[in-house]
Amino acid sequence: MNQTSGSDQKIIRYLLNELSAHDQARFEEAYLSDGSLFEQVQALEEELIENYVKGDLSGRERSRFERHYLASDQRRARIEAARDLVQMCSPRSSTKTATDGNIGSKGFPSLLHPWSLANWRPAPVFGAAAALLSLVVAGLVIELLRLRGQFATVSEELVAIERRAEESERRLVHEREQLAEERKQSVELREKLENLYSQLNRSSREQTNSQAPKNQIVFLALTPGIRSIIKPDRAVIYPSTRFVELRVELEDRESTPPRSYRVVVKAVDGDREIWTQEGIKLRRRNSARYVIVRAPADRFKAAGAQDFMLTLDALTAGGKGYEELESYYFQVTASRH
Amino acid sequence: MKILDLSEESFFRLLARLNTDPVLAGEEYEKLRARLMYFFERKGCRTPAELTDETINRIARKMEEGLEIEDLFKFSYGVARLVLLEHWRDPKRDWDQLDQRLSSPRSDREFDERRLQCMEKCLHELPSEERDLIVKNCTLDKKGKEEVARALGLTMNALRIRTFRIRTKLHECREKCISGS
Repeated sequence: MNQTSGSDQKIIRYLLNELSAHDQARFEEAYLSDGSLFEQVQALEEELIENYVKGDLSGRERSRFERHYLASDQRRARIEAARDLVQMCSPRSSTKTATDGNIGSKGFPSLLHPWSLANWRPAPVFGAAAALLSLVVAGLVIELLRLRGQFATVSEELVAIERRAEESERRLVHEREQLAEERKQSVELREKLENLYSQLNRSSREQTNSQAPKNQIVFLALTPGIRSIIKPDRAVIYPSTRFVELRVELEDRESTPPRSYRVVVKAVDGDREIWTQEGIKLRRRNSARYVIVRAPADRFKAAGAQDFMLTLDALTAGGKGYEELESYYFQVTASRH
Repeated sequence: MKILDLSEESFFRLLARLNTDPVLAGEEYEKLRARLMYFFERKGCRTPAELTDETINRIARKMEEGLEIEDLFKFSYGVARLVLLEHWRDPKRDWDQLDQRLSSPRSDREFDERRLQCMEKCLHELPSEERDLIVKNCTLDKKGKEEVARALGLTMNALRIRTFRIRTKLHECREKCISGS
């Protein structure tokens, strides 16, 4: 672009998208509210387009121009119109100056009658040679302009292709990002699924494990007063059973000082003691008072019987002996499965 | 982006705000519209007319709500920027026809000739002094243009504006000619 004034420079920089975002915003506000500035912008834009078509822009300007002006139908149409106009005018040569023509002249020479030739006044001596030369020059100028036009078209197409490539690349990047995101989601879902599976396995294992202690320890509550031979308290022990936990409830008595207790289990058949434990503490819950003992299951198995008597003794006040508090009859049978 | 409906009353209120003379108000309205269209087009919007209408409708709506607007043209810039931002963020914005748009330049020989014929015809229809100015502007270098401006008693900027106005007429004529009207 030729040398221009400061304000023109600013407009051209705006048109070529070279202003900072802040300056651009200020400039847009200015031309939207100032009609004359707006017209100036449009006029300079027309000139810029014309300079582009004529190949008068610098490399940088041309590149900036193409980036913006080849990107829309409307702007491309304006370039096309400017090209048509330049093409109509161009045989009249770009080297012409204002003094060569009359502003008020009536005629408009067509493309086939370039006025540069019509106005040419060769010296008589060199008439023929000069006329020939002028024809050659005119021919060259026309050829040059034709080539320039072709070059501009090819250049536009190239830019269009580049823009398409850029757009495709952008789309590709976008699709890649989407794919990566989907992959990430897929990995997350797989992890969640694996977590769920492992939780499921864990809970299944826990369930299996929880069944094992259930069989390892058999619980039996012995209640005072229910010592009927007809319907005794009864527990079933399995091959896997390791302990028989006996909850021995006491009769509801008036509060007694804390004492130590002893449990003695005997097989009814032969009054054989199979197991005993001392130093047992009394437990309380609400109004209930009870002791809990855990007797080895194999003692019951080894007894070879199923009827047993548990005697609950309390340590005497002096701590020198035990006094019997209660006795409980119960049955323990062994299951083979 | 949804275009809000503009009632007749709101529209006339907007016109009255632009100028009390209905004829001048119409001209001002066209100026405002042209500037907004230019703004949106420069921003690469493919529907500048639609966005311009949306902007004007919003301004009218604001006036309807009783907002005092000191400089309507200046105010329109703020609204236009908002409309533009919304347009850019609009997920429904049309992206897809770029390929089609870039791959369909009309450049067949017949059409090219028609265009040139139209340009020539419209140039001939211009008053001779305007035609000469256009032709000179098209062919002269900077120095030559400065000589023309001096000869006409104009500044370079004034010459440029004058040429621009003539060229606008010329392009309008050419467009009509190409479309066959």
